[in-house]
Amino acid sequence: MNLKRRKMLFLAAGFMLVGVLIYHESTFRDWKQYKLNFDNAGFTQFLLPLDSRFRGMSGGVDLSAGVPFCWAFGPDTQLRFKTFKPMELQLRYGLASPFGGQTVDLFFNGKQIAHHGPLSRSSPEDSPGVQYEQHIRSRAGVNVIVFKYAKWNHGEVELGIDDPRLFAIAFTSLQLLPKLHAVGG
Amino acid sequence: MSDFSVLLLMGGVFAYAAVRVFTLSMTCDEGWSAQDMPYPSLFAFLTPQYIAALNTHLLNTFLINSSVTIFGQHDWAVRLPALLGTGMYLTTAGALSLRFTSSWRSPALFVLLACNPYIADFYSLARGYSLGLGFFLLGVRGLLVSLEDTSSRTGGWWSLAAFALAALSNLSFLYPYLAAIAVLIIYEIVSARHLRKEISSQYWSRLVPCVLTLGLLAVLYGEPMIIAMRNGEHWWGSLDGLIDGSVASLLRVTLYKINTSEQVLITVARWLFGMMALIAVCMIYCFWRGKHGHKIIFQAVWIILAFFSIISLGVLLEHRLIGTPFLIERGTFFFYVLFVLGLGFFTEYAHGERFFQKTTQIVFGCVCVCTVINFVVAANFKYTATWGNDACARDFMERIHAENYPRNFTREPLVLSVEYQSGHATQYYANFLSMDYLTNIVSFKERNKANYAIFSVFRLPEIDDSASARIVMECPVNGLVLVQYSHRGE
Repeated sequence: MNLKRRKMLFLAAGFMLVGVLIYHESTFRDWKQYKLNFDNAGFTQFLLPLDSRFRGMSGGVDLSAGVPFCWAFGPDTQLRFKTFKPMELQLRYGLASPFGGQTVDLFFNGKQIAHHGPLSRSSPEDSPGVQYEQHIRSRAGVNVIVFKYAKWNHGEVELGIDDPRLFAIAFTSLQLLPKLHAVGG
Repeated sequence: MSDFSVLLLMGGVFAYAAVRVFTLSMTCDEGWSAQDMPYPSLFAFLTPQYIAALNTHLLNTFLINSSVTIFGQHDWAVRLPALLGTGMYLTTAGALSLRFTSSWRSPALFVLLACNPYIADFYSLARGYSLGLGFFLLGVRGLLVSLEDTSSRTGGWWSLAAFALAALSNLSFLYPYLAAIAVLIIYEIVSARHLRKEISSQYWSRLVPCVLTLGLLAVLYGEPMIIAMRNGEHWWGSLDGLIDGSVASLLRVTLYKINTSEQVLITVARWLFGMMALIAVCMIYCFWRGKHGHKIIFQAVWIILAFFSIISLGVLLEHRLIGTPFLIERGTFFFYVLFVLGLGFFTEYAHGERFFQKTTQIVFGCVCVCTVINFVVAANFKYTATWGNDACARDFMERIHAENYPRNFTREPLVLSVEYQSGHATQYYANFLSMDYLTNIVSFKERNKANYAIFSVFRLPEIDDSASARIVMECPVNGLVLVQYSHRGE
């Protein structure tokens, strides 16, 4: 390869690298730390492991007629946590859909474990607290829980409000707890 | 034969570095750099204030951040850029040895360049030194190879890009970058006079790499350097002088496990400077007698001598003007490379010289044998010379996590007490193992508040509440122990 071609090749590779970096920087969805970004003071409905990271979910608890809820955004909500060794866990959650016909698929470490819907339109006060419970076994290392939604604001539906957020569903509770065994049981 | 032996040695040293990437626990300075990174954002954290802390070496930090973003939270991902730098350094060292020396001197030169056990520590550590060494040697090679290609329009000036990348990988390589500019200017003047050339338009095209790299470094490092000077960050180093401080410290760490008195080290450091002066005298003698021998080797020795002299003068000048301490230990790696290349190239040159042939070959051979013995004595997979204190940080933290990981669910807080030097490495593992229940890492003095403590075994007699303390683990390398206090946090 002559010198001119080699220079062109390096130049092209350089431009491609810069392009990839700029694309990554402008599109990545940051994982937020539960411990630092989730304000659930006083609300036991929202208990995740301290090391959890999340994305596709608001970082704080809102109130609707005194019932706490947390917004989840489309197209999906992801939760990530680590366990040093496999653990038996309970995933407990409640859902309220801001529009009718919503479906929610639940995946754990890439495997679908539940399907909900189509859900009718409801507000958090209609369905407070825990409605669903899944028993899962974590693996050593990183574990990922994904809630996938069929519809969200500015996606399939328009909620008709002047808010750019991609509202998909409201969690009225979201807990990930170690499964407790009764003594002698 | 020499090609094969150099390749074999290259593979061996690289394998040693690669294994250590996995086996060495994260060290203080690595943990310090890696724990602050807000990956997966690639650029956001690179502010002048962040760079000004001087623990950050831009290219090194950027590559670590990118690697962790791509491959996830692993020690090996943090160290991957260092290993790539090691590959570059060893390959360039092999190429230089084979191109500029012959016979047994090729593998011998490679051994000297590659088998310094202290430098080998940094082949596996994410501190930017292996990247810096790789780019530095690539620049030296570019410069020397350009001597052979006199038809090139830009001469060796594009090698400045490699020197600039070395400075971005680790700031200590800023000296070789500035020296390279000076060497190139001197070389241009000398060769122009020698060839009776007039200054022509091609000289302007040679300025392009110089202006580009200087501009880049000024933009990236300008403001951080001003902030660093204002904050008094330039404190690391020695005030004992270039030879007694810098080179003696380089010798001390090179000897790794072999303890030697400071006076002996200073004497040998002076000999090393004397050796370079002697080589210069011999070269002047040969020049005066018109004995150029192999012209390229002759020029290569002069280039290395010029590099060495300019850097030495630059360091002395900087100390005199702004009082910067003399670089020590890992900050002086470029001096080691220049000593070795000076001796190696001169031995090759002297091969055809009646006067120096035997002496230089014996000296070169002896130094090579000593280097191999020193390397074999020092080789290990568990600790580094500088941060031996962190040798078991990973084992300790994994043990604590294994006993307590459900606390992330139960929210029971845990407090750890460590001695000052262990702070960064333990904090790094607390982050990387997701030990979010670890609410506080306190000093040794505050150990009465802690559930666990890591301290030297010699401090065990100071522990007043030994009844509730249980030694969980011991580190045979550095004598640190992990102690659990059973009555706390229950």
